[in-house]
Amino acid sequence: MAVIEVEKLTKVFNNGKIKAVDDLTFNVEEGEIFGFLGPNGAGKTTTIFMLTTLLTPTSYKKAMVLGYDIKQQANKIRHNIGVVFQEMVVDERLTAKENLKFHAKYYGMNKSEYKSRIDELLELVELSDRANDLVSTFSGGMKRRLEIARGLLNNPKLLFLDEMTLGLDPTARRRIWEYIKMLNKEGITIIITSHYLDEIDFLADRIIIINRGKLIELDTPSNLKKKLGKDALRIIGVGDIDKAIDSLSKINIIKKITPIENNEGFVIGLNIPGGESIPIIIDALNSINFKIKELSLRRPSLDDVFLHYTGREMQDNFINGKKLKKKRLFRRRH
Amino acid sequence: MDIKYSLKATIAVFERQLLIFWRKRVYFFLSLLLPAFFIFGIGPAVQSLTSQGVTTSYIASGIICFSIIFSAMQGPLALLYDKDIGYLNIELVSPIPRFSIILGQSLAGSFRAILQCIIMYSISIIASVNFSYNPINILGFLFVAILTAIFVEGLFSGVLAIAKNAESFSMITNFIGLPFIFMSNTFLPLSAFKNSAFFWIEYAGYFNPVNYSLNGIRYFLMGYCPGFESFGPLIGPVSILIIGILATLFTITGTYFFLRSVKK
Ligand SMILES: Nc1ncnc2c1ncn2[C@@H]1O[C@H](COP(=O)(O)OP(=O)(O)O)[C@@H](O)[C@H]1O
Ligand SMILES: [Mg+2]
Repeated sequence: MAVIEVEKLTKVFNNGKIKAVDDLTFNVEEGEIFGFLGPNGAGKTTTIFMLTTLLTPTSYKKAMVLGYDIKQQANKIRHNIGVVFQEMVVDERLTAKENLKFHAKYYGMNKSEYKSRIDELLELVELSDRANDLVSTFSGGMKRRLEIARGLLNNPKLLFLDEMTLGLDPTARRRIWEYIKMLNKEGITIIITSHYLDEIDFLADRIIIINRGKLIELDTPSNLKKKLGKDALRIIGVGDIDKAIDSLSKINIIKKITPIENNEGFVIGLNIPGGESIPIIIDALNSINFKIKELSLRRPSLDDVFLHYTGREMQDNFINGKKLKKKRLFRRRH
Repeated sequence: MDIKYSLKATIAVFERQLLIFWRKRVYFFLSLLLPAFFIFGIGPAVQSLTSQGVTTSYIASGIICFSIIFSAMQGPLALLYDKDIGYLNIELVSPIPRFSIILGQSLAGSFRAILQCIIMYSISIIASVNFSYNPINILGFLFVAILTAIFVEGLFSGVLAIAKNAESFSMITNFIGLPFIFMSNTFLPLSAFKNSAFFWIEYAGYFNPVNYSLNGIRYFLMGYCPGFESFGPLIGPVSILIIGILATLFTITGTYFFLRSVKK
C-alpha cells in the first residue's frame, strides 16, 4: 500500500520566478525508508513542507499522505505524522521533558496519556538522565534525539526527517542512523532527505534523486549503481581537458565521461567494464600530454551516481570547481 | 471544531509562555525599576511644578496605563521569537487549531501587562499615592486595564503579522506607537495646550485611543478625571465601551492577520 501518492506536484515562489518543485511524481510504500537526494536548493525541504501541510502546493494532480489530500484534509494528516525539520528546533529555555509535554498537549493528550509516553520515549533516545535539564545544555546530537522523541509522541505512522544529521559528528550521526533503522523495523514508514550519500546509501530502501525541483531518477541504491556500469574510474590530472575528452570519447568501452574542474586540476569520472581497460585509457591520455596525477578504480558509489545525474560532486570540492559546459555533450540518459 | 480541544491547546500555548516568562523573570523585574522610580521620584517633583491639576496620583495613574500599553506592545515579540527559531513550524505541523496559537500568545502577553500593572499599582500604594480604594473603582480600574492590554496586544499582533520581522516591527511601534502615548494625557492634560499654537493637539486627543484607556483608568483610580471633570461619572462607562470595542475589533484583526501570515 502506498502511504504517499504524489502526481505532478509543483511549487513556485516569487510569482513563478523560482520553481522549487517541478511536476514531481512518486509513491512511497508502507514500511520503507524513502530517501530524497539532491544538491542544495533541489527542492527537498519544499517537498517535505508540502507533504507535512506547512506549505500549500501551487498545483498538483494528486497529493495524498496516508490516504488524505494534503490540501483538503491537512488536519487528518497532522494527527498521524511526525516531523523533524532541517533546522534544529527545540526550546532551549525549557527542559527536555517540558518540550515534550507541551508538544503532547498540542496533540490533545491528557497527562495520564503523555506522562508514561514521554518517559518511554526519553528512554528510547537515551535521554532519561537528562530529562529535567534545560535543553540549552544539550549537545547537537542530544537535541536531535530529543526532536526524534518529539516527532514520535503522537505514535505517527509516517515520520519525516529532513537533513537529520546535518552538522553532527560521525558518532552522533551513526547513533541517529541506528534509531532510524530501529523505528523502521517497528513498522514506521520513514522519509529522509540528505546531503550525505553514505547516509542515504545505508538507510534508504529507495532513493529519489531530484535536481532543480525535477525528478531525475527513482530506484533502489543498488539498481542506481548498476546502471552506471561495473567499475568507476576516477582520474585527476592536468592538461588540455577538451583534447582529453575527445580522445577518451573515441574509446568505445567507456560508458560515460564526467569531467569537472577543481583546485587540483581536472577530475574525470569514467564508467568502464573492468580494470583491464585501464592501460588503453592511460595510453590515450599520454598521447595528448595530459598528465595523470592520481588514478583510482572502485565499484560505483552513490557519489558516482550523483555526479552522473547532476553533474556535480556531492561533497564540497564543487565549491572551487565549475561545471564544464562540454559535459552536457556526453550526458547519456539511461 | 472541537471546542474542548481548542481550549486545551490555547491553554498549552499560554502555559508555555508563562513558564518561559517565569524562567526569565529577572528581566521582567528589572523592567519595573524605571517606572517604579518615576512613581517614587518624579511624581512629587512634578506636583510642585504645575497648576494644571497634575498630582502624584495623576502621574502614577499615567505611568500605570503607560506600562500596560508598553508591555502589551512588546508581547507579540514572543511570537516572533518562536517564528525565528522555527518553533512556530513545530506548532503548525501539529493539529493544534491555528487561532489557538495566536490566542494563547496574546493571552500570555496580556497577562504580563496586567501583572506589571498590578505591581505598579501596589508600588503606588506603597508610595502612599492618593488613590480611591472603593472596591467598585478598583474593579473598574482592573476592567479597563485588562481591556487595554487585550486591545494593544491584538493591535500589535496584527502589526507583527504584517511587518514580518523585528526591524519593521520595532520601527512601526516606535514611529506610530510611541507618538500615540506621548500625544496623550499620560503625563500632562492635553488641555494645557489650549491657548497655544498647539491647541489642535487637544482635539486630536479625542481620536487617540490611549486617552480613553487613560481617562478610564484615571477616573477609577482617582475618583475623577482631571481635565474631563465636565463628563462626570460618564467617563468610566464610555472608556470601557470604547476600549471594549477596540479590544474586540483588534483581537479579530490580529487573529485574522496571523492566520493569513501562516497560510503559505
Ligand atoms: N519561502 C521561499 N521563498 C522563495 N524561495 C524559496 C523559499 N523556500 C525555498 N525557496 C527556493 O526553492 C528552492 C528549493 O529550496 P529547498 O526546498 O529548501 O531545497 P533543498 O531542501 O533541497 O536544499 C531553492 O531555490 C530555494 O531558494
Ligand atoms: Mg533542505
